[in-house]
Amino acid sequence: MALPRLRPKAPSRKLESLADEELMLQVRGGDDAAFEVLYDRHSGVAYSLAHRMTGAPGPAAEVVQDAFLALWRWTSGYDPARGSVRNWLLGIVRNRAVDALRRTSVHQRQTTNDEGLADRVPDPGRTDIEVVRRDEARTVQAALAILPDAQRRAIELAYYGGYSHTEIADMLGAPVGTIKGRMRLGLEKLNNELATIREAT
Amino acid sequence: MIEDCRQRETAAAFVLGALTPHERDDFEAHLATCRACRREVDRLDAGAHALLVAPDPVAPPPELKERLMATVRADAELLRAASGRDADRVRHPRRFARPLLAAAAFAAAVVVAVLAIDGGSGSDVKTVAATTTVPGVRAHVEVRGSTARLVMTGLRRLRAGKVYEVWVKRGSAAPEPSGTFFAVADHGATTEEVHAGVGSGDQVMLTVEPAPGSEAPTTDPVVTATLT
Repeated sequence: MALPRLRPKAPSRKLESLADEELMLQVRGGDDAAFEVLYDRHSGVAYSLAHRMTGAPGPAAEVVQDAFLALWRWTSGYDPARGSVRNWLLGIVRNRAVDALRRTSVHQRQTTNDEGLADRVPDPGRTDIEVVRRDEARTVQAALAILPDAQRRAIELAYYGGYSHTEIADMLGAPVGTIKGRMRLGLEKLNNELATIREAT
Repeated sequence: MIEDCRQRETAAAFVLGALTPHERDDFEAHLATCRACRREVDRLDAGAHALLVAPDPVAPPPELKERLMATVRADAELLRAASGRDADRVRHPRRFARPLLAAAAFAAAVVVAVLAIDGGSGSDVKTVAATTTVPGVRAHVEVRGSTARLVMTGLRRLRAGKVYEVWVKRGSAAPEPSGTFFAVADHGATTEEVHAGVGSGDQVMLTVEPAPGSEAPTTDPVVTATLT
């Protein structure tokens, strides 16, 4: 490339102490060091979600790269009034992963998902961010485990599989109304469980 | 519950992204007028957000960060080169920077893609010599089908607020911006993809323009190549 490269340097302490929203303002001004801090904070959770959804390292990396470039180039309109930077970024990851899934056939999607779960490399979880992440994931997994299988399956197929309620109804051989009901009951139960766990800790 | 709505059952499918695009648009329109459904969506949203962080932690490959940071640093450097101490920066702090950034980033992506596919010079690449008006600059164009790239050495580094811009001139028509803009490192060597289609008889030209680039050339070409 024609462009002179800056020497890679560790992000400054000062940037690391800033909140995500403040870093986003710096990123908007073209600050690559602020971007790096955001990447270090959120790439783990973003990649884990992309990996869960696409089921393979290649597509997962592509999805995460797209999402962070959207953040850097400011193409997806972050609005602090509408929620946290992390949820916004993860929303982009989910949308891109669904797009990637929809480009492959239903059969391939199921096959890759199963394969991907077998050969993934678990995060060793050494840094503070990773330890917090692991606890957070375990908490939600514990809450999900309480749901009846039918409800959990409907939720996971929709949220991670990118399937519509009618597709899920076909796959599970149940009426669309039943699937919608399972989604609502499952989400309610998940909310209640998470509230209970939070109160207890 | 005091209020209720027949469509409330759709809220869960909505927050889980399980509606078809058409159904989603309909439900969003409905949400604008239905308080019961808005409350239901707010209530269920927390659970859906929790699902975003539920997957088992898997470490991203280190190459992903290297790749992203290389792109991001190159973009940032280009932004700095393009706006630097220029007076435009004071008057329009962001207005110019983003289109340039996007164009530069796109150019970078195209160059990388072409290098990846090409992997060297194939037999179907035609090399066309270019004339230059600046001493020490050497340039040629590599044409493959209707795509071209400009290979240059000896370019001087530009003052802040200036960029190199590539043009395609077809016959007697005015030169068209190709969408390729770049800054250059101290050593002055670069290869830039011309991302406008080219054909026999077209001219590829390079000029120096005020950042973020111009719609029509404002200076005489530094490099001109007539494709055969």
